[in-house]
Amino acid sequence: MSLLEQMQAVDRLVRRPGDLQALLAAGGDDAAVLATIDARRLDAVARMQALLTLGRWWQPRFPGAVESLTGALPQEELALALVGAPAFERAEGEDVKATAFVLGALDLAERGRLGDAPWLEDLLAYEYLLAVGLPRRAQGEPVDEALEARLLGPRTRWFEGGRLARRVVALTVAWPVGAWHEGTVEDEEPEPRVHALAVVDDEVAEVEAPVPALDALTLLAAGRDDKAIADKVGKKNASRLLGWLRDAEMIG
Amino acid sequence: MPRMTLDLRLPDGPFAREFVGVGVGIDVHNDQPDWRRLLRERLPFDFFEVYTRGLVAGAHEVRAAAGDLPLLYHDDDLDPIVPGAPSEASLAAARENLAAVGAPWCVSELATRRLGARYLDFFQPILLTDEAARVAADNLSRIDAALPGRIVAENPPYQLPVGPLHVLEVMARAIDLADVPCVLDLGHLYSFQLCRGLPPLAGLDDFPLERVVELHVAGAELDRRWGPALYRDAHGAADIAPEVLEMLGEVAPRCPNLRAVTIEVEEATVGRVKDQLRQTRAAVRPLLERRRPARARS
Repeated sequence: MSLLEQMQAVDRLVRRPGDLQALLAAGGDDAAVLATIDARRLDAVARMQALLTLGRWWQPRFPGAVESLTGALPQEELALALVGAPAFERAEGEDVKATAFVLGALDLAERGRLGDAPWLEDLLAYEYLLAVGLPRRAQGEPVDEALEARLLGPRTRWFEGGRLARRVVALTVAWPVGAWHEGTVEDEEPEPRVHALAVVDDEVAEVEAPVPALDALTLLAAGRDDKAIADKVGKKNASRLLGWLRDAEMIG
Repeated sequence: MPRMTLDLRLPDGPFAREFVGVGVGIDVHNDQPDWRRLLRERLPFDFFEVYTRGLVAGAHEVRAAAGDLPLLYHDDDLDPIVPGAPSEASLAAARENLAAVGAPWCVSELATRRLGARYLDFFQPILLTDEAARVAADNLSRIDAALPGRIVAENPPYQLPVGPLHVLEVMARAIDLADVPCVLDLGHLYSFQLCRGLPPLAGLDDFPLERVVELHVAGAELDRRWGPALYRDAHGAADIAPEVLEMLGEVAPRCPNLRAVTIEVEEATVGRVKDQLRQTRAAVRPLLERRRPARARS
């Protein structure tokens, strides 16, 4: 192992302390260096650093997801699982594209470590758009397209042009992700809803509405008038929805 | 015994020949403490050590506002322990910042925040092996040749030492081979001794103290939640450990070429900066009192 490989091995060990015994069993000069590691200390450092990474990198952007995931796994175990996941190797900077967090969480769910979590993808998609997908687009920064295809593909539609004042993404979810993100507890049965999101003056504006909002957004993007929208979604629904969209500066 | 006669080739200026005093290490991006307020309040510090995260505008701003206050520069992007480091971009940024600050040297820890393309959330300190010392020496030599001032190597903090050597052995090999000065960060040294269960000053008798131009102290927390004591380098967000202040009192008089004692105060309230200045100045009072009047700013 070169010096750089030894350093990379140490970095991995601090994220996956359970690998130490296997590395030592491999023998050789490198094992002699790694044999100087105090296993108890390694475990303590791994736990502390994983928790700090969870708190610094992910908690501020994905508060609802982190809170919900810790219902299935203790926070320390969740943090260790995320920093030890293969997806962590793909993090850019402080996981600015959220690749490590989102793919790590999805991977944990697929492997059954989160129990029954049918809400997970909805919540991740919502918080991802709020904290990463839309802000990075507004700054002209690249996003992880493969991640977006997996997470957003089936549940988002983008609208622009016509009467829309700006590009709007409509996220269709079944769960109360907005309330979970805000930390207001809301027990309710799943019920489809749409979050229309757009960047306005460096902030993400949002309208939460029933699913027919998708039809309204389609008509708005086609430049259709209020009457056409009322004909499609009903007069009362159209009036309320158009008011919300105006308040959010998504239409003029 | 330290060799008094070692020529450290320090550039001309206030730090060239004499002990300047006690300064504070500031991050120009921090609101707490706001370095401008520290200047306005005329606290008893003798210099700033400036940390800009590579952004040269901050270096220029401090230089312009600081008047005749001496400045040092602390880099964090040179990664001198990584084989083949630093990148040309990192070197150019260090050169530019050092020149903008007008500092005689650039402090760089023997640690890295980057492995290949990956950014690390935590510093990885130098591995405690001969090979790691040789690589660091090679990098330090190249950095030193490329900067308008000296590169000054700093011992990093440890939570998990890897390798058979003591950090002071590795550091001594690296700085002797590269023929460069060094900073001893006493909190970082204490963190290492805690890991190995050693007394705070273990290993210092064989260390080339004549290469020490600067000592660092900073606040820290000891986290014992998982058993072993983990030293968390909190800078201004915590108090300086009493053990570290005792180390300062013992080590400072033994460094014949000492020019500066720096308190790293990022995240500190102004009240804490005042407290830490008082504690640190008390620990090195004999050195402060020996300064010639022209040098004694505070």
